[in-house]
Amino acid sequence: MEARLDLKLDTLTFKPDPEPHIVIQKELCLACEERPCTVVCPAGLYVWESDQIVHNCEGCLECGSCRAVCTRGAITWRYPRGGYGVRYRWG
Amino acid sequence: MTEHVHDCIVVGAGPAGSAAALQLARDGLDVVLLERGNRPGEKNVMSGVLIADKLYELVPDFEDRAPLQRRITSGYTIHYLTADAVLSLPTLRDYRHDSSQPLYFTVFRSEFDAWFAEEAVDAGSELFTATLVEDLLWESGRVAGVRTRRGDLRARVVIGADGVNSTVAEKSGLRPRLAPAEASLITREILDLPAEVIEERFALQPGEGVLSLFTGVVPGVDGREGVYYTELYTNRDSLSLTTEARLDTLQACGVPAYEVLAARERHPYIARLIEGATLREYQAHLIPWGGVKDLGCLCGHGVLLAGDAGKFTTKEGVGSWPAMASGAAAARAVKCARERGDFSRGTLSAYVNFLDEEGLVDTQREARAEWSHPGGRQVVDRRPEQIVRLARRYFDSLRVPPGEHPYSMWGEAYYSLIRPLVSWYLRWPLGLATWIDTRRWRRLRARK
Repeated sequence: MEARLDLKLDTLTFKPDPEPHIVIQKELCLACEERPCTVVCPAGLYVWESDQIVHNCEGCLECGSCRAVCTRGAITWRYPRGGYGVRYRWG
Repeated sequence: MTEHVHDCIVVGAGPAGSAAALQLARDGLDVVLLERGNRPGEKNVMSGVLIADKLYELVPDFEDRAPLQRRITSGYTIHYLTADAVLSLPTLRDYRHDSSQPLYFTVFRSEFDAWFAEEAVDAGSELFTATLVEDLLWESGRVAGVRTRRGDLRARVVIGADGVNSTVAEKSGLRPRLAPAEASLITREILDLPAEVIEERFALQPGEGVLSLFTGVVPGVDGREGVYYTELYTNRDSLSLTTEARLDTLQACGVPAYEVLAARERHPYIARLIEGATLREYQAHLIPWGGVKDLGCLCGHGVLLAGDAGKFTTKEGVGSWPAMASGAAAARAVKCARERGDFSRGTLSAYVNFLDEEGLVDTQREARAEWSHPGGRQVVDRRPEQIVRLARRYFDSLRVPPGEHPYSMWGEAYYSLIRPLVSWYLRWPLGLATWIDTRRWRRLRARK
């Protein structure tokens, strides 16, 4: 399924923002057992690996799901700067 | 950008923002429209069809000019999905073409929003793209403009039409951030398929389209389950396939939306409809759900919320016409405030009256009632398995000798639908009748 998601994300165009628009306080994630961000992110950008959360801002679809489900306030989320980020051609 | 004070800044050039800017510019106000994408629509995803009744009021000849894909002639066809079956409810295909008919269209927001914003620009509003509003400017307790990386912009009033993750709503403190139960995640695929194949497969003429909703229960981790919706609709030379689930459902169920989307693609019925199609683009978006608690939170001192920012979606999750209607209502409120020269919350709260005239107060109330009703949707959501079971029983009864059945049709209906859904003190007379009916049925069966 992972490979399929990669293929899906390959169809998109991005202009990556050099300033990360999502910042995670990873120490807060250590106490989190549900880790909802790993389930809801439609781009699969949150992965739990070797006892910490691994996250990549590039490839973000800017939906805001992770921010809505994170009850611990570990995610500081804003939009990428104007003109940066995902560019849907067929939204 | 100068220290000039505009009449109004509209944040977000989506359907709500462009409708507001269009209306304000037509009324002769000095209005600025800000969009964070390089082009309006670049950040947006259409999660259903455009219901264009309000657009018809704003731009009566839009059908000739707007970039539309197909007009939906099938109404809304509803299907119940189980792992290996689908039950479709009767469908009305209505081929009358006059203004009394619902105006449903498939569109690409990248094309449509760009066109609609251009309408607002042609009417006289000023559009800045690639401009993200990062904060609000305040002056003696009221909003006095917006802060962007390209400079500050001042205005007498700001309309926040910046979508579900609205910065204006958050920074103005008008509405709290969305809870997981208040938003649905849409994941969507655009699947390339030649127009002729679409028209043949769905029995359409050029320009006509269909819209299908599939509802089904997805088994999750640890025996949990959740209801995921899927929509399939036709564009000119592509199909849109979406899955939708509330964030709290996703969280509880534990199955990512893209996995459900992949599973739905493989469902025997949907696989036949999308056969031969190739993936053009994958998208994701949130839609707000359940309306606002208090309509008063839609206006503050020098600020109004419209569209998804004000959680304007119907109880079915339709956001296109509420966005345009709320944008137009916001424009009227701003015009009123300007005539009085007072942009305080008191004057701007005329917004709620204008929303009421657009029917949006009822929409908000209905959405809230549906959302806050415990298990309100679950009754509908539990049914796919039961309804398919009942339908199978019915079609089997045409084929299998009656001796095979433990219950009559009525007995089956009672045990699969009424018994699970109705509490015992309401259903006991029916239960008694069913018991007698079942005994009679079994006696008859034994005699044969």
